[in-house]
Amino acid sequence: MEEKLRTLAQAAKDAVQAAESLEELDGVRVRFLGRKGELTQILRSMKDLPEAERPRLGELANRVRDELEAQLAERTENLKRVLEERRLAKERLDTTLPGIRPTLGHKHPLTWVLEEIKDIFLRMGFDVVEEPEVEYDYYNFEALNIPKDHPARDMQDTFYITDEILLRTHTSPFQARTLERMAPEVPVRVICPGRCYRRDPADATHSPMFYQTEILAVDKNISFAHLKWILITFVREMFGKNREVRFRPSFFPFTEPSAEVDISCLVCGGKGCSLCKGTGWLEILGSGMVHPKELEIAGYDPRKVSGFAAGMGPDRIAMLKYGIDDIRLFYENDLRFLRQF
Amino acid sequence: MRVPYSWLKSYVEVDLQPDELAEKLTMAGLAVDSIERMGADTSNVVVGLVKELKRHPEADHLWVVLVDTGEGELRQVITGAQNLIPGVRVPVALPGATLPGGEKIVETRFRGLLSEGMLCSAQELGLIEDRPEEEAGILILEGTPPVGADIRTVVGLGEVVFNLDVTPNRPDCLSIIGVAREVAALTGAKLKLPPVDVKEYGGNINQCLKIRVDATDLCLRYAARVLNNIRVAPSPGWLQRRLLAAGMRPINNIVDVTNYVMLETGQPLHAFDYTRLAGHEIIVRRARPGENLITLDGVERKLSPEMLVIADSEHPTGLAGIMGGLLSEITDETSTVMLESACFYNISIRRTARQLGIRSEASLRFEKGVDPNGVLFALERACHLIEELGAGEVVEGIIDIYPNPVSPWEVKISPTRIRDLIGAPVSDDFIRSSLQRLGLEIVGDEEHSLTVRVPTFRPDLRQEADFVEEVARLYGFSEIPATSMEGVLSLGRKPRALQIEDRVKEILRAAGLDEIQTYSFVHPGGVDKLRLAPDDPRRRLIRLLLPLSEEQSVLRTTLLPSLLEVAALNQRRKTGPVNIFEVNRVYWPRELPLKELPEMPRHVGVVLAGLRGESSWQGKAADNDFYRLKGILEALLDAFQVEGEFVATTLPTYHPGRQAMLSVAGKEVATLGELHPEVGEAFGLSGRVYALELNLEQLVPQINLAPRYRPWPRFPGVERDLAFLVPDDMPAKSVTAVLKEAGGQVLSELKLFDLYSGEQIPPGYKSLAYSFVFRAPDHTLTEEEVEPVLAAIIKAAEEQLGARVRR
Ligand SMILES: [Zn+2]
Repeated sequence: MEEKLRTLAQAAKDAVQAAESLEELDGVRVRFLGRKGELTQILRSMKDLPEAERPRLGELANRVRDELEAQLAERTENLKRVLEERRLAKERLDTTLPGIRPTLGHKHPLTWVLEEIKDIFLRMGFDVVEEPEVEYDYYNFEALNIPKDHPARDMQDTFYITDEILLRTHTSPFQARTLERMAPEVPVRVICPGRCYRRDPADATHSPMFYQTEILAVDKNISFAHLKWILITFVREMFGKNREVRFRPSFFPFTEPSAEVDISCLVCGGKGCSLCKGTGWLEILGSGMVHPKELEIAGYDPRKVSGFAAGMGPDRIAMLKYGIDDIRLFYENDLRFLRQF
Repeated sequence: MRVPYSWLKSYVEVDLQPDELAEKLTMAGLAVDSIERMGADTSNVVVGLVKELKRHPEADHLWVVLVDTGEGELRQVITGAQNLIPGVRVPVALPGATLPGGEKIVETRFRGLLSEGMLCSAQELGLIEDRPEEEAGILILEGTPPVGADIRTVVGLGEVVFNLDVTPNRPDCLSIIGVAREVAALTGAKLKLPPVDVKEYGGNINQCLKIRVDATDLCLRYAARVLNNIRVAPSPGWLQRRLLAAGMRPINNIVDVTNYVMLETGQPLHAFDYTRLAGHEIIVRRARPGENLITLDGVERKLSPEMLVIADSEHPTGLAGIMGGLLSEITDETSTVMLESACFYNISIRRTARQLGIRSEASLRFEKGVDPNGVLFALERACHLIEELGAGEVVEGIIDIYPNPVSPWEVKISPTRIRDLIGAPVSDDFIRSSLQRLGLEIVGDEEHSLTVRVPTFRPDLRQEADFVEEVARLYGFSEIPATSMEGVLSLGRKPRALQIEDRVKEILRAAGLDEIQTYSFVHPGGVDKLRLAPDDPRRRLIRLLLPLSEEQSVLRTTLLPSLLEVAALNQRRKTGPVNIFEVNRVYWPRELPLKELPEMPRHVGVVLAGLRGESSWQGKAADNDFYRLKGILEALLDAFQVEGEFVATTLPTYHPGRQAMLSVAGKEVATLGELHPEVGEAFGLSGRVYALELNLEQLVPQINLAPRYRPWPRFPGVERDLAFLVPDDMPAKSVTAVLKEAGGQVLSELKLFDLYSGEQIPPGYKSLAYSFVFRAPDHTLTEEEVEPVLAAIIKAAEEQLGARVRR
């Protein structure tokens, strides 16, 4: 009996090792441990053994069964791993084939730039406001210290609808409207983005419709030094920390003093190239201290408060930022252009 | 404004490198656009002597010129210029020569004859700007420069010229002296004015000339001198070179002097041939109805009564401040000259110049404003120069009509306020010295204020703010510190409508649509192409008074035409699937013509054409259809937690059987559908096209931007699928309504998962398959609870819809 058990144990062990698939292995389990399995039958015949041998042989038989079960379990694990490895080895993809991309819509480049500008000024505490694109002559010119007969009011440059109503030529009417609404409250910190219109036939650098974004701050004790800080902060946020900024005296009818703001050229960094016409500088913003007359018209006392304003062209900024050489591309909407942003 | 450096140096001692001076001027507000080194890129152009001249046998307008360039043999050159005579010296570009702008000269045949080089005009040498309207004659060189000499040594190439961009508030800087004054202020150098002493040769101006100013409102000052014994001749080389460098073509000594003095002082002058002035009289008046004038450029101008003219006793003989008349032009025969120096009203000059389409150096300066107190200085300077050139003798006396003299004004300024507004420690002394360097006089110096007298050539200095700028720019904008803002912290806010716009764009992009931006003005025919009904309010278009073209002549009342045009453009160019949107305003007049501002609601437009997206190697993308379009709108509503209802419509723009409108809170907020094929065709579109337009302004009040969390059911639901056979034309909405009603409280989800017609379905019917989820809030439903509900649903479907249930 003992001999029989030992032979059986050896045979079972060999069979387990020889099994090459889970099915075969299951066959081995059935052969030895199944209801009619060889070991099962021996275990069942234990009761026929003499009483004295029963404990010893019983223990041996149980050990053989436990060992066999352990071997089966181990072999199952091994086989599973091997089979899994074999399966994986067969499942090869050509990972150089292109992926299946989700169709993502694209943000218009002007929207990118407009949002970025708004965001920077929002973070600096400026409220975004919107004002009408179809505007009264009064707000577009008169309230901004541009009297009748000023060259800027020519029919040739402005889209008039009636004598009194026109398409705004700049976002600046928002200054007058905001001040009128706020006076005599301070502080005023607002930014106004939007579409503007001028009677320029479209070419590579002109468009009869374009965007402008303008900011305005009015408070006690605002100085030109504050204007400089805000605009330098903006420019470095928009164009990078290392951008050089320079302020150059200029002229706008509704600011005094007025300054043109240049940044070091985005292409050559200041050495001079065709983009900056060899100067190393790019004009990016017009700005200045709010003209006291404008404050007065709106109902502020220019001896008590002061302010600054600045305006920029998102179209131009987008052209510089993305290296676009023709403004008409923005409004033509060729999808091969739009899908690049 | 072109400022030759050597000319500038005659009035102010400055020895800065051109780049340094340009930097100084730019940073003081006189922007130097470019520095030009004249002729720097010119080579192989020499002086040639014209020997012989004959017509080209094959072309009347061409000349065959034999020219001596000092090489022994004569060169044959063909030219189209008509101003040559034998004996003149001209610039000849030899084969291999380079002209400004990089043009290379090679031997060329003209109608069979070889041209061994090219004769050059002043424009071609880069001496003056190209003006297409002027006939470009060959530059006739003055004097007898040696034949064969390098042209650069002869015509003053090599001169450094600053191109200044003068801002409209500084008309004084439209003159070399004005710029010199600025340079003096910036560098501390002294300004030297040129001599203006005049020797009078007897006679009496009042005996030979009468002047009357009728239009005193348009002519602030009119002064004149008469000069006798005029000898008209070419100007000397130095004068020609300066004019050329400043961008003006030399004509003759008298005209050249007037131009020279205009460039020098900013005061335009005009010389009349005195003998041509009928009655030897000048009347400054408005033109009379029907009067005409042939101007110097040979064009006959129709005058109108708001135009100011210089007339003699009979006719207009010049357009005041803009251009002289041909009849009184200075010619070689002119023996007596009347020299005019005047100050005209700038707005009248601008209007007239615009109206007649003339833009002259004179009109440009008058438009910007001329100092009435500089009139005599310029007149005397011109007389001085004519005498210096030996070109004429001045008759005794000046006529000067100046009824309302303009005097310098005084402005009181506070140094403390100037300092505060600049935000830099600018000392009182600096402020004082700045003012003085600018040629301003401090007439009052009190404890807290200065009183400044402003000369009339600085009309831009009227109030304290103007002085803030003067002090700041002399202090240097770059010296002013950048100081962070102080005071109450403020929070930047974005209006709700803009927040919603941003969110809408985000959702539409996530749906795979590309954003476009189109013009707000459109062609009025767009509304016809959309087949809008005659009484459709969107036909009430706001028209621009003076549009650039019919394509951009009206403000749009709908976004669709712009979107459809972009779709068509992209289809034509085969740029791939067209799935686009735009969020912008439309313009709805409250009344026409406009009396107040129109309504300008923000709209969203979507157009889908062709495939839904990019295809891949795994398969072609699906075609767009109505339900994708509707789904995009539904996704928007879901995102904003807005309940809406779609109602079938019969709008002419869309396919009669494939369109709907969306109504929210009882208001129509959007229309959508497959485009009517005629509309597609009108816009040049191919295939089925889907479009929607949403009035975002209407939706904004309904929108919830802050979602509230709702817990999901805690007990599992019981799922059942049922398909109903219903007539083809029964709207899914009616079916759903009946099923929901019958399902009652325990029906927690109802979803259509299949629509089928075809095999096994009788003709005229369709099968709608729904999945139902039944659920109770407080326990897991049992089969026994669900069965009766299901039975009720089936009963309702059969009885109310006539449906047959396929289980
Ligand atoms: Zn550059």
